[in-house]
Amino acid sequence: MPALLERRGVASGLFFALVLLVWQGAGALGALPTYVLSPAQIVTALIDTLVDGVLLPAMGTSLQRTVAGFAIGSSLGVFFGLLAGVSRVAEDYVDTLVSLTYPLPKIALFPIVVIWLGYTDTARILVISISCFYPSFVNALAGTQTIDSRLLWVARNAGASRVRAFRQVVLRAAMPSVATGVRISLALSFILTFATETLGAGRGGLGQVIEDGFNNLLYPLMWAGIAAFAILGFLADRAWAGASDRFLRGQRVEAASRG
Amino acid sequence: MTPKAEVVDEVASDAARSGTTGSAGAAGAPDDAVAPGPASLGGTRSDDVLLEVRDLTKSFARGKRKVTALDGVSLSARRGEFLTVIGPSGCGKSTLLHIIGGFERATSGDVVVDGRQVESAGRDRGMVFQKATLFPWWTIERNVAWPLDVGGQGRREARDRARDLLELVGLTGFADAYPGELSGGMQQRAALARTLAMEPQLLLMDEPFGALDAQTRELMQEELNRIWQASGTTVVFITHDIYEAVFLGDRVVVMSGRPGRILADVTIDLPRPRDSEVKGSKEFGDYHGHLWSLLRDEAAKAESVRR
Repeated sequence: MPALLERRGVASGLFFALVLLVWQGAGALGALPTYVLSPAQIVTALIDTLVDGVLLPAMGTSLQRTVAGFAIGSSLGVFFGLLAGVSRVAEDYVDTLVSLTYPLPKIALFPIVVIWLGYTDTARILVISISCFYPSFVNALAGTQTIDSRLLWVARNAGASRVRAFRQVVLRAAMPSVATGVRISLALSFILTFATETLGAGRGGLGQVIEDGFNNLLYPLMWAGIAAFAILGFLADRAWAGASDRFLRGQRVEAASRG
Repeated sequence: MTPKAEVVDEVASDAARSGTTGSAGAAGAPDDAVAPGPASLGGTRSDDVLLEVRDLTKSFARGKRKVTALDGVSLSARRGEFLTVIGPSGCGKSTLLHIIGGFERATSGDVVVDGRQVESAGRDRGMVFQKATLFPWWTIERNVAWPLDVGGQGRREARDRARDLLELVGLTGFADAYPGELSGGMQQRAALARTLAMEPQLLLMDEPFGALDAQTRELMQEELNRIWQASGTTVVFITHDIYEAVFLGDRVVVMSGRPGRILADVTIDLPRPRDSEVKGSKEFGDYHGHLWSLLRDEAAKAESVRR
């Protein structure tokens, strides 16, 4: 038994099951407030909302916004982060701008964007993009700055061109940090999607599902929306982590061997 | 047998400047010096000389203080020679190697390799660092093949050559491993193979075994001896380990503490190929004792400066 527990994932899986069990037990004993559903009730709510056709379109709408905002924001963040990392001029201009606006909660810009673009998908995607830009930018820049200068000497020694050295050394060395930044952006994109879907007209999406449940005291509906968000977010994060671990295998191995 | 030493004074560095190896210029040297150098290594025709370092000085500003790392260093190495450079820590021996490699610039003085002035890094001078600087994102084979790839060789050709080099350094079967999966010693072998892939005329090694445990280091020294004899390249090998310097070197150049100057140039007349048994011989002990007597004061000075 102890040997089984030591296997990765087994102990943590058991712990998760235990939390669910306690939660479910508390529900069965009537110890939960009416607005907190037990796991079994949440599963039922998920199935019901799927069957009556509420959940899937809402998931589709939310996912579209999330993916669009994430893709635009994080790719621009990575691009400018890497650019600032290799160009002193770019760093001076962009990094100052970024660090000044970094602490601002980007959702606070939503009203301004709405005045400009109305309660549209474009407005929502824009705010999600802005938010996703930052973690990707900051981590991409850091990735280029923490590179071991000896690796660049190796490239110089071999007579590699600047372009090649950038592509095959700087970029590759920065990748683990880039992947971390993008992963944070991915999580943020879901948070911002929810936030923009609770405000204004023409919302749609899971944010509206949750809000509707909240406003009409339809707690199963509310929980179905929350659970759907959780599932989408979890799957997206797993997919990204899995893909980047595969791509960065050599660097993961090295990081692990350094302890 | 007495160790043959040439304490390099003004005369000797003048000799080095004029293109000889400096072995003729040991006049007026202290009593432990033996002049001239042995006849077998006494070929001083300048076309035999691959590396020529002339009156190299390097100083830089640290805060408001001016630090002189190297002060008038001259030395030379013949084609195929294994030169070890030894000195107390902080004596600028790494700086010397970086300047020869073209990674750092000297304040004054010249480095000439194969008749050409060194201005920047180049494939004719292959550098091996203390820490194996392999690219962690590629497999060992890809790492070793990379310089060939940069040099414009075809994929298959580069791959085959990388396999050969991995065999030479004893890493057959590890081609598909990532650097992080190998021990420190194996990583250093791979880094050596990668450097050899450039077919450098001059191999520059900066305490390459310094980070390895004692047993691995001994093994690596024997391996390097074998690889050097197989490849026939000229080597400048930096170390602070006297045993290592004597075991590997045809000549041991002794540097003083900061600012780095050349204290002595000792020819190691031990038979080759050398195996670990030579380390137990009387001659080996004599060389070690002699070098330690030269280094002892410098090491003590360096230690007291640091306190």
